[in-house]
Amino acid sequence: MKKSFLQRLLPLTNDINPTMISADDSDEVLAKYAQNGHREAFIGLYNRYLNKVYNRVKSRVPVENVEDVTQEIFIAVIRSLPGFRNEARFNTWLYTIVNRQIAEFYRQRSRHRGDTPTLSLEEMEFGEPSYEHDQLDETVAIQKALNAIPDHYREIVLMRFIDGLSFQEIADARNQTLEAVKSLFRRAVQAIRDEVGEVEL
Amino acid sequence: MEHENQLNDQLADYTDAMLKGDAMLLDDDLQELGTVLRSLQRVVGKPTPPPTPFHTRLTQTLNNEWQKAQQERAQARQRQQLVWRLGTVAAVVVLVFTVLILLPSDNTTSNTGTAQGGNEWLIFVLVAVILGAIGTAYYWFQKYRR
Repeated sequence: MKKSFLQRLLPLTNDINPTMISADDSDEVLAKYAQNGHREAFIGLYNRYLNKVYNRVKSRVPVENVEDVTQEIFIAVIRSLPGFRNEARFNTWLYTIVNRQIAEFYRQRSRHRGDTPTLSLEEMEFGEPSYEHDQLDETVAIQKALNAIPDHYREIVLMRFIDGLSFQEIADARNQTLEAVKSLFRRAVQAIRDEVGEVEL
Repeated sequence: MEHENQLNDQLADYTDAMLKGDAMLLDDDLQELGTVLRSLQRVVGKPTPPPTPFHTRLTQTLNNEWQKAQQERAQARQRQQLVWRLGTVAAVVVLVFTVLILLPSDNTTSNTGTAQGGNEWLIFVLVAVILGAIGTAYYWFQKYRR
């Protein structure tokens, strides 16, 4: 297609030919294409991250809400895409949205709970200061602990358990030494232990 | 410090072995953390793909959402372009009026020749500056609107 004088003078980023999109493209390249309206690039990112996002949500949200929260995350990604700046890694940006949407889910749930006159024990899974640890099952206890620990602790645990990355791969992804990653991992597991408290695992 | 590093290495090795399905003994200091790791494996250590009906439904929902978002962005762009065009027209009108005001009037006498020459030069510079400003503004507008 012939470009106008102005297009040649001022090349715009949406002059990318969709056939140039390749499965080997980095997340950041696909995100750039998607920002410029290329649906195929967004689908590429969606297919790349659906399983990881779904399992991250599953590790932190009650099973009956996993699908809704996952859907809300990808809708938020579409809406926030114009704001993505390539200074950040795409997965860091995406997992920030995951954390934000999960926090939003618990905020809404908490507000809803405030309107509920009576609560069953199951409805009191998270965030209640007086619940009895012993009465909660292992899944709930681990989910609660994962939600309570700092982001960088949670991230390293999920990278190992859900993304299936080796400690060396985690170190490379985070630009840290292997020793630093192993140390962080142990502190993260210790933090989970502290959060879980007296629950019989 | 050395002992801490050994514990870090041992816990990492234990995690690797556990996720591979191999057995490994842990130092007494790490027994509690080993329990947490086994629990983590049971709860989050077996990632599964989302159920097919959900995947299909989600893909459809996101397709619709994508279309909607693109339409909204296109409308926003059109609004911005309209504002820009109106601004450009206003700038051109101002430019024309400025030129008309600065042009020498018909009753100029011959002994003002030097002054007229000065005015023409000034008008040329003014037009060039305004056109340059419009061009620069247009360039930055195109570059940063996305």
